[in-house]
Amino acid sequence: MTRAGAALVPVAALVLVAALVLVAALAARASAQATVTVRGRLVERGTQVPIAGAVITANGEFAASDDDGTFAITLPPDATTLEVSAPWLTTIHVPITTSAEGSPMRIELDPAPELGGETVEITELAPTVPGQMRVDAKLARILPGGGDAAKVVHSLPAVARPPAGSAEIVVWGAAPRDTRVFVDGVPVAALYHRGGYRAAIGSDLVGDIRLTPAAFGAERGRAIGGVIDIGLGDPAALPDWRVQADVLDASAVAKVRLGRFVVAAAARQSWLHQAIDLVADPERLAPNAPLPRWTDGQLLVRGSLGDHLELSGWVLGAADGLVRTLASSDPATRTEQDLASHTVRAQVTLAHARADGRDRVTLWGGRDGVRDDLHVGETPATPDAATWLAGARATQERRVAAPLGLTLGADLDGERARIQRTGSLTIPAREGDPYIFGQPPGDDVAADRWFATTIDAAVHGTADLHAGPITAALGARVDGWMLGASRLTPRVGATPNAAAQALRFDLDPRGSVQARIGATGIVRVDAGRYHQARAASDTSAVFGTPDLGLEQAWHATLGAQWSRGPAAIEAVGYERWLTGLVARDLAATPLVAHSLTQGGTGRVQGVQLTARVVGWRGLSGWVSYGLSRSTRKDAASQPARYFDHDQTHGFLVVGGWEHGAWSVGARVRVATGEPRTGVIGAFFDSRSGRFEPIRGPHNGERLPTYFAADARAERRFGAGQATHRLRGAVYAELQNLTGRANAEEIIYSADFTQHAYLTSLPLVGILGVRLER
Amino acid sequence: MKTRRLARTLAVVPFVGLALGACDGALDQRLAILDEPRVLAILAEPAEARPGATVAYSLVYGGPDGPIAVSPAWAYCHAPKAPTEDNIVSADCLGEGALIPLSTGEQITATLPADACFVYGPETKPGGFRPRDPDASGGYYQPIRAEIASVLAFGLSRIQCTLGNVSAEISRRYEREYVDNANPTLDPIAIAPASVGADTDVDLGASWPAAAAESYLYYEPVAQALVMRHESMRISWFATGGTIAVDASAVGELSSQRAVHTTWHTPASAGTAHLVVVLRDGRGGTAVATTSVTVTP
Repeated sequence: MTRAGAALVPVAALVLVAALVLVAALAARASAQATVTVRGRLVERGTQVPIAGAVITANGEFAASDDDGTFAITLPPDATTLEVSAPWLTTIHVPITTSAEGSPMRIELDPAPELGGETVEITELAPTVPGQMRVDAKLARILPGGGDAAKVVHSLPAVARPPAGSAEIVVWGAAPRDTRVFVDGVPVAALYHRGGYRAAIGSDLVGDIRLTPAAFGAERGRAIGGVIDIGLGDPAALPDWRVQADVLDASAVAKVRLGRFVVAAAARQSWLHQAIDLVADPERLAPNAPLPRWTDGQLLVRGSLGDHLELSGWVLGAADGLVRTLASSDPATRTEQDLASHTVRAQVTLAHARADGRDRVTLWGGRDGVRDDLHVGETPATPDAATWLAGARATQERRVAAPLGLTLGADLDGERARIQRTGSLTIPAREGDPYIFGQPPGDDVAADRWFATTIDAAVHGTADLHAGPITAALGARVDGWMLGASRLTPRVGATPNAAAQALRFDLDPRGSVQARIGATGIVRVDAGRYHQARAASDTSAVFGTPDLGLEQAWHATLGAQWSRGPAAIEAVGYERWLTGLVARDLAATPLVAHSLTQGGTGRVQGVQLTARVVGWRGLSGWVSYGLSRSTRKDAASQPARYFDHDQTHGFLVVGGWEHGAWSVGARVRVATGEPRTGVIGAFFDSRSGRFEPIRGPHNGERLPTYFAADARAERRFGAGQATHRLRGAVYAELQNLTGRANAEEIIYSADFTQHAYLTSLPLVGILGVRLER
Repeated sequence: MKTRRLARTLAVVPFVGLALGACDGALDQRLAILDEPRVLAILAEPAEARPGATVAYSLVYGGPDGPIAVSPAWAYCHAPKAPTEDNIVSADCLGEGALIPLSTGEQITATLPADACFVYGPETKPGGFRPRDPDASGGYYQPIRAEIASVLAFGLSRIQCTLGNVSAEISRRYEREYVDNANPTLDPIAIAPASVGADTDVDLGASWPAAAAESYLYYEPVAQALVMRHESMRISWFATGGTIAVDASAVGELSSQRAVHTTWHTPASAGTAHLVVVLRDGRGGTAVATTSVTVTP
């Protein structure tokens, strides 16, 4: 082991030991607290039939009623109210009228209004932080997006309009890689399946979606863009089983109770490619409608260990495949691709709720893999990577005194990637490449095989201070990084290997100050410094630079929010300063093992105006307008250019309305087209017999403005008794209602004398059905 | 059965729009019909040579009336191409600042620049620079520019360089055993039926002798070993009228096929049509065959 690696081992061990000590402390502390057990029986009002499977919650504890309607829940002595809920019941809140020594409570409940099915219940849509957005999964599922809860991320105000067939998420002008996605605090490889049709996390298990587009707190690291947190829901609130099918895929979820634990499992399998086979030749659709195949599955376990201790664990798995051929009348431009990828994450979390705070410890691990076999003519591009990941995370939140709260934590993330790559340097294209759609990549061929290691151990702390109308959160995060690559120079025969190893430390201050103005207004400032490690795929001695380090950003936001009743209006301005970005070395002859540099810089500025309404006469949604400018410089000597996904104007209206057995969702979006590099001429290449473009200014043109209106409607129905009711729904979704042919790319004639636009699909419909009990 | 039909209908209806959408915005991507004067190929003889060697260059130019004799202004490009450049030459070669002017003429001879393997090959000057990557056949190329009335065309003259980033043993063996590429040869264009009527389908055939597709030594970068490969062949079809089914046909390196065919739909009116076939081997060698056909009413 190298000196750098040896130095990091004690740090990693310290974090793990701290986590384990905290677990033990939590357990000991919890067992010492006094509790009371409340018992009772649930019956349906009128019929007096016992209700099984309802969920009883209070003070963070929960229990489920047995077949005879009885339940028992252990609570702290100060608990005053029980919440009783089930998908087919009207949720009620009941004062606790008994104790362990008293007679059991008898609680009567009514069936849910109308015909049952999933009821939209918005628990929190307007956050207290301007710019931040939290959407309950139940609302997300009725919005256009195929009924997939996490798809709502692409409809949030801070997120740029994604290109058709794209799974990338661009938040406030940040590159997709700069925004991290967490599920219950565990980082995942991607939020969406390839093609962006579906989220990689089963919709049924998602509880809520929270987006922090910039200036997030010290508890999150390793990202210089935004943070997306997906919180998995309570499995006890799921129906016994649910199946759903539409033209995209089929899915199923089921739950079972095992003692104190509720176990839920879900799976999904796509059949979109088979549906397309019925009506069209997939080869003709391939350029603007890649037809991937996806599969995902989830296993979730959650239960109470008593004394405010909750244990949860899950396994998330997803696999994607894409086989396509872009036919051409010239074999030199025929493209064939066979891509397969998979990702697995597993975690165990122990959470403890206290009167003065909460504690949480998580251990997680996973594996990602991707194998792509791409050939453009005779030029290959075959990246093949497998990555093992693991981490631990511990946090403690404590109200020390009335005006002071503390959040302390430590986390450890590590990954080791094995990568093999063959092909041109320009495949895959990087952000900032002057890419001309449809042009075959350079036919220079290189190859490399290497390992990359990235380990980050961090501690963080935040103090929350309250003084009258002023609230301040002052925090900091200290990260220790170990960055390694197996080869410092290209492989040449049996020459000895020299590895690249580096230790980096950084201190990132984060903070916010919020002032309350009257009863309805707030003004808030957030700022912080952020770091993220270079991508493992950039550390090749042939295709990249092995000793790349950290990319850095400073964020600042200034926002104001006014809220009254169910409505809120907010304005937020933001700015990012990016330095040390990994970019191409533009030299005609770069140094060996230095094809990439960290000379890239960037700047993002913008304002966002948002109005939201929550649960007003069944209506929830938001209207937003964003004005943004995101630029990059690939080297100090280069002029600034627009970021590849820069979107100057973005106007978005999203709404969901529930009335009786009907749910209706709609989305209207207008967005500036993305920048593109235009073509100002062409020359003939005798070796290929094709023309090649003479490029204009880098990102000097834009695609036309995008406009789309989408709508979704769902009709629920039910049958049978309340406790064994079979419920279902039929839903339909139409995307791009006006049939507008939105431009996705500029395409050219063979000699580049004419151009036109590759357009998105004029109208896409999804029909589906859902059944549950 | 009724249920299955309903399910199929439900699956189909939403994608009708999707299927239509794919047809939008298509531009003519075809080059096979010579509807305006155009460069068809640049030939180098020999097809592969060492820096300092003399090479003859010629240009094949054609238009709606068949092959055209032209005298382009020739120049070697002397600007290295960045590894991140998708085009075959640096943008500097499109201007005048990075050129080595040669003569003007339909066919010229020129001496390959002595530093070609440094500028375009794997050899690097002191300073720890990155060797250039070869193409998929392991070759490096000196660009040569032909300019005809502001129209630019680039040919690539394959240069014989030492291997970069390999062991001394592999380098020596490669130097000893590698055989320079030679231009392939083409048999006369085969047309069936021999009598060509207007507005009819005609079979076009292009063939070459077995020796045209050579075997060659190739450094395989993943295995880091020398292996024998066989040249692939690619045939571009051109006609002055009518339509041709494909722009190009290809024979992979694992195939022993020595002929390819396509369909030419002849012009609607009678007259003389010209056909051009350009054969390119996998290492940059080129051969051209032309013929004239009388299209009868």
